[in-house]
Amino acid sequence: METGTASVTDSRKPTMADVARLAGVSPMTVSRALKPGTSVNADTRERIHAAADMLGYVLDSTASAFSSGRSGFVAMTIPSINNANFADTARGLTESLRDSGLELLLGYTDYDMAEEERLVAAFLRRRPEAIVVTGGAHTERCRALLDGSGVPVVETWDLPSRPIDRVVGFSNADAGARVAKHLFDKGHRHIGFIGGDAARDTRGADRRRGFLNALDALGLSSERVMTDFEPPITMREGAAAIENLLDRWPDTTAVMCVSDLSAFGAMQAVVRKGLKVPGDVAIAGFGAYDVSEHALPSITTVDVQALRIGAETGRQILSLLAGEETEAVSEMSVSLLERGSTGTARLPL
Amino acid sequence: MTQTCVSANVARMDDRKAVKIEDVARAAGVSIMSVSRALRGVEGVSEATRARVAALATEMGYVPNRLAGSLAQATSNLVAISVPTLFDAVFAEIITGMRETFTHAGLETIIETSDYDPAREADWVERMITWSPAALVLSGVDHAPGVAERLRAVDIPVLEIWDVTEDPIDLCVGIDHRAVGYEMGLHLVTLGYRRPAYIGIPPGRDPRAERRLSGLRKAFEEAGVAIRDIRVNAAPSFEAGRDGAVAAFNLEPRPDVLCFLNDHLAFGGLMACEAAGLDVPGDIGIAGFNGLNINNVLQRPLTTSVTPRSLMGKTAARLLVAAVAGVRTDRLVSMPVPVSHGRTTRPRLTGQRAEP
Repeated sequence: METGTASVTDSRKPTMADVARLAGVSPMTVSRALKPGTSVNADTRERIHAAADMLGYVLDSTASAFSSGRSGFVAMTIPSINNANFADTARGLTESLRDSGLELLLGYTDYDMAEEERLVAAFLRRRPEAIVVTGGAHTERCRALLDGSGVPVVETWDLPSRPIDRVVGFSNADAGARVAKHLFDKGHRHIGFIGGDAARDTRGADRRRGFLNALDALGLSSERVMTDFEPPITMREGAAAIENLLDRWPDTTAVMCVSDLSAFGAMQAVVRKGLKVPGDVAIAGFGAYDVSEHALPSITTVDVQALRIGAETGRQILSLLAGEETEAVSEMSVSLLERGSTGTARLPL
Repeated sequence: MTQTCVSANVARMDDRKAVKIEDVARAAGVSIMSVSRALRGVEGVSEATRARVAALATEMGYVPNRLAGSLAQATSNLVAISVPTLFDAVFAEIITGMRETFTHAGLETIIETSDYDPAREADWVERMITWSPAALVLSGVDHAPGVAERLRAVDIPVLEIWDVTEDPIDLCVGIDHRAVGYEMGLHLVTLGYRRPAYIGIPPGRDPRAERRLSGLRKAFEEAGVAIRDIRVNAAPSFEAGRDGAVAAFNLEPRPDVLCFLNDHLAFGGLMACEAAGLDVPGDIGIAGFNGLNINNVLQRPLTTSVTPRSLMGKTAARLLVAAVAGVRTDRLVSMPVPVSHGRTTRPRLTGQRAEP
């Protein structure tokens, strides 16, 4: 305590050696502890931070970034910022990086691979410690940039057939198939799908493919598909889509929507037509958004553990930066949350 | 990080010899003035030309000199944005509103979420200053001590968004939260509500919500009514609204209207009323804040203050692009916030307001 107080009143700037003395560690440990992404025991790190705070010692992050080649940030691109799922993944990643001092910076691509390429290039010029992208579909140049970046790259929300580096994701096709099977088990035989334009949202397209293939495999028609809107499709578009779908195929008794938001909109539209959910039309969504839990009836959905995808991505990055080997692919389990919006189908008269 | 890429485009980014505006003009077959206009996103070039020039400029690695010239140090076309959260779509919609203007001006956006922590925002500001971005965007006008002074001392255009203050750091585009609360309060008083309760999260987390409450309180006090105050210790979510509403049902006398921190909580409250068998607006009124998109599909749209999120983003981005180009404009824009009457409140037949 004495040394600390003395140093603060000194006119000279506190040095790393002062911090080390006060914390009872070597200057090298201080240096490591104050830099992001290094492995230092959490207690020690805490003690060093407390000592640095007490002395008013500031690590010159610019100089340090120059000399050590460290920038202290992790870059992430997501398709949309207006999406609670991706916001959850970003939050999970931010939280898992917090103790390391690494900061997360986000760019969003608007479901546009050319935009992803521009962002990745802009980020790489700033030398991120690691880079996280959503999905496994990229432009060839973007793929080359990521491949040659020399930092850990994590692709999330997907199980790409050609992974660049690490993967933390799940099979969107399987998730779609799970919902198809569930609706079938509930007795539905006239089942539709509502989604966005497939060329832009490749993960949504995978869910649709998995869903429709499962219908085919069950011997059901897979023609009841509405994909008129640009992703991400909104509540209002979900409402419009189900009205079109029911106009065209009035005997439809169950529909999967590509996300909970469109499912919520679709459910409101069905009720507005004077039909009952699930009595007349059963509706399922995807993503386990809050709105699906609190809607009346609550909406059957697929929980992909968006927060955990972020946390696991952070864990992978920290391990890789510490020089540890990690598994190339972390496949996350997805679960079907069976709720009120998918009841048993009426028996045909 | 020396890239030995075969692609000429990539190689050029690392070249010492920067690509000039003349090069882009020649490649696009247009005048230098057209390139300049196209990249600044100002009128005077067709959309097709703009898109072609922008694509060529990106491909050739051209950084507009104007951006470079306005900055003391390295060139940058990044706009760095700090928002408290992306959870409730509000900030996401503001950023989406900015996007098109930024894209036309050749600016890229990167985002940081501060999780309502001023210290995190302050750390981010320090880091960003070392990056020499084209501009910085901060949410709200409440920052950690020293942040405003620090930003005023550097030559980077700064925009504060979503709230207003008499003394902005640089540019400020937002709404007057206290006035918004007051307008909603007046509306509810006029409808005849006299037993209001507010449902929010603990004080200290969202200063703007507290300002709205102070406006609400003032409107009711002018009618001689005190507003009761319920705080739910949770994130501002559907769940918090549901729990707050359930707590409000037990107040004596039972409130005749519930004013929620925002539409998310109001939606949770609406569901709680339905679950409890209370008719909205027959038995109890509900008011929110924001006018979220969920209102477009609800059977019973919320009575709420409709914040102009997308327009706010557009307006702010235009001012900021002008500032990056060295053009001075209005520093402060306070945007109007209309009350949407919705179907979760109705005129009350009370003693004070007997109707024929």
